Amino acid sequence: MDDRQILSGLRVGDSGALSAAIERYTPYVSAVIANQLRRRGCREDLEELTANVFVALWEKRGSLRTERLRGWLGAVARNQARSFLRKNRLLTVSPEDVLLVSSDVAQKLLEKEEARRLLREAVEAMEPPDREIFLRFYYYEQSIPEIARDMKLKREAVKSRLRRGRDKLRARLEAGGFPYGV
Amino acid sequence: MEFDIKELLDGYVEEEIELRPRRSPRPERIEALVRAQLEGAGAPVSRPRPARRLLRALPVAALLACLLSVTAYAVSSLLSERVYTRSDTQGDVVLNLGTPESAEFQAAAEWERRLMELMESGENDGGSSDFPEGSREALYAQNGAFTQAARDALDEILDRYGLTMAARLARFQEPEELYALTGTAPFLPPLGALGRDPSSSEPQILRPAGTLYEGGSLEYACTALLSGDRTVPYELTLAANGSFIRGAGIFTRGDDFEEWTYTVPGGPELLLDLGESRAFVSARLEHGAVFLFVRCGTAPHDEDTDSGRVAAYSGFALLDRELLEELASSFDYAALDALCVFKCDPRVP
Repeated sequence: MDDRQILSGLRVGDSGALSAAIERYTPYVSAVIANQLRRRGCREDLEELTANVFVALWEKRGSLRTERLRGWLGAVARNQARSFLRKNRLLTVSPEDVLLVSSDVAQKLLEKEEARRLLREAVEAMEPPDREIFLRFYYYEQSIPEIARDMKLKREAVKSRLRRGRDKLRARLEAGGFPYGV
Repeated sequence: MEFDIKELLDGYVEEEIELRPRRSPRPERIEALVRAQLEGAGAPVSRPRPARRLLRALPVAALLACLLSVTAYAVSSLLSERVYTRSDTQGDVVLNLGTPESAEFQAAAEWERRLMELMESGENDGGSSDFPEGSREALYAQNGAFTQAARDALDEILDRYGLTMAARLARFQEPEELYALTGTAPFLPPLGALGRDPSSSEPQILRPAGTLYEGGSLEYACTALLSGDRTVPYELTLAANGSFIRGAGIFTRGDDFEEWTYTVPGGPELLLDLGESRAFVSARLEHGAVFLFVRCGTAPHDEDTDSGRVAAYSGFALLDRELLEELASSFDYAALDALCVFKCDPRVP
């Protein structure tokens, strides 16, 4: 079954489609979650959170509007893992992950969706290698050595491209009215 | 004011980057957990749902009597012997393996109940879930057993009923693939039109899909093209004597079933059950048992449900006695019986 067949099957309540989704995407979903958990969860946590993603897929099958199953599963998996970490007070934010804004634009930033929109636009505008490095680091939470390994780059190259990506993000956000700094 | 970049990426849909899994759980393990969660919530997932703890203490006969006394979920007399457990929202659940008195049916029902006990006590957790394809451990995992305790429990049930676990030989889609795998002439009705998704411009939603097991057991979901270009979706389960596969539980949705027997000329006596939203055909063969679950019934398709909406948009037929008998007559039962003693062709991957 390809994604379209899986999604169609899910929409008609075909449990075989759920099985196909589990078989196809367990490695990806568990990798997304494992990257978020790192050493902050045991194997049972990984299994349970992975299962939760597919339970959510089944429960939302009637209202699924996406044709992009992998992207949907990845986003849900990431949210599941981050919720788990938040709930267990294991979610940490490092200084380099933080966007600081001055108070004069704080009101505008209260509309978090607007900030999200600008950030996504900035990500989409990056050159492909920089975008991949940025997303591997901030979305999938891979470490720099892991990114270097998977993309066959030197660690220094990953660091410099990540820095360049952040610079472009800063420029984009500033253009949108959001000063950026740490 | 601070915003976390990672938080701002919540909900971002990323589709291109290949992640290298470090140590992924086995899909079978995840599927078992998913089904345990969904079935615990009474969701309509087609797998046997174990009896509740209180009911497990009752003898099977008392359990069946108890279930049959609930008129809102009552099903017809012989079909009721297939009732495995009950759903608060979807009606009785019938098991699609073998015939109710058969070792295959009894063992599958017993294993599902035992499996739930093992999962509740944590005795099926913690074992490895990473087994080489084709290994004995993978075969246990196919049936939901991941730890030695679970394997021992399954072995005990299988020994008692004299059954052997059947390995998955091949998955297939078109009937021709199945005929090629088994070296047989066509024995299924012609393939009917595929379903259409009312919310999509794409014409196909339901594709045939099946699994062939060692020893000839078979699962196949597809559609039959019957007279007057009428299309009927069905799921066929062929359980070979002596083989163990997990099978599936099917919700009756509280339908009232009309039940009768019907004999195909030169074939076995069939038990037919016709309800508003679904129908069943079952028969004991010499070397196994066949069970058909038909995904439509006598009532107009209920467009408030997913399956009803698809049935309506797909033009699936409404059933009556005549059409159900035509469907039942369109299978070659001698060929199905012969498949139950199928020996693995070494060419089968």
